[in-house]
Amino acid sequence: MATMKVILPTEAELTVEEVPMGHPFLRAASLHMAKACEPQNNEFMLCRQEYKHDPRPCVQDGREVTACAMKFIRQVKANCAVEFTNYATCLERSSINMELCKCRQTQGVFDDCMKDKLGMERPHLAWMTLTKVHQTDRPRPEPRRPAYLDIPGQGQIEELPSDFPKFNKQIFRGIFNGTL
Amino acid sequence: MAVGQVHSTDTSRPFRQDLPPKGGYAPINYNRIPAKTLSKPGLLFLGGLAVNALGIWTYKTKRTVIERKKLEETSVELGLEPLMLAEMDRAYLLQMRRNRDVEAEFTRDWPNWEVGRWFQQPLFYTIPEDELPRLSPLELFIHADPKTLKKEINYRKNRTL
Repeated sequence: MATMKVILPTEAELTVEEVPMGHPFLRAASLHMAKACEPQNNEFMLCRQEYKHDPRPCVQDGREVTACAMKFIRQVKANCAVEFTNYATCLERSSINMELCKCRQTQGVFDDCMKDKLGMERPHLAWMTLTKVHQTDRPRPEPRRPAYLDIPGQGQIEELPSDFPKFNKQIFRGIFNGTL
Repeated sequence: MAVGQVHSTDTSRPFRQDLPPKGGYAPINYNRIPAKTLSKPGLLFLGGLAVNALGIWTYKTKRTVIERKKLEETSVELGLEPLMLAEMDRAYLLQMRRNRDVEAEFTRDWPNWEVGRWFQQPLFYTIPEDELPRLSPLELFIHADPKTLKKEINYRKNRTL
């Protein structure tokens, strides 16, 4: 369990309005939502990738991701509620894995509605697999400095001593370049 | 023994020796009996060629369809990942904070107990004390009702989707 020295976010920071939808509805909205919330998603996933197993610095970005998703879902509910519900119901009842290829008709109706009323197009098939460059102002995280490096008399030394052996033999040159 | 039949030890029946049938038993067949041949080797080879050709044709025609289907399903999951991950992170941190608060509250009267330690010894020696430890689900929900916890773990283990 975490000690008192671990700085955890407060409950107010962690409590946001979550997306109140089930799996079929999420799957139905997934691709449109990924395109609409692309900057937020990329920012959050970059943060998660940089701070590998520490989700604390990415809580604010995560809030933005959920807020964007909620905004998108409210838009859909205001404009294409019937089509969206039909599509999700079809997904749920057509196959056990909720495959998209079983519901092309309802998907077409939903796509037309989204295009006419919200101006959102369904991304093409391989859109999610494309490499995307994300521009951000967030500084790169610095690796944690081990504590033993700051102990005087220990840690890294400024220069190597003059009598430190060097591997200047020809066979080691390609591997170590004589600086080991 | 069937109903109505009575086992008798009557000795008045005549004695009868158990003997081989008249003329003796039939001779044992020591000859080799080969299996029936259903087809020729050349025919089998041709059949293998035909099956291979059919398989290659099916693979070539159906492969793109299957790959496109897989790609679409993967895209859907990738599109949902940031949302799910954000929600999961928040739940994880919230549960951790709750656990710590509960522990601090019910060890308030024990001056020798420090929160997050086992009798003043740190639980993790390889990470600094202000770093976030990675906890297993069992440790994260250790204050939950054991029955509910077991049910939840079994559900997550056995679910297919």
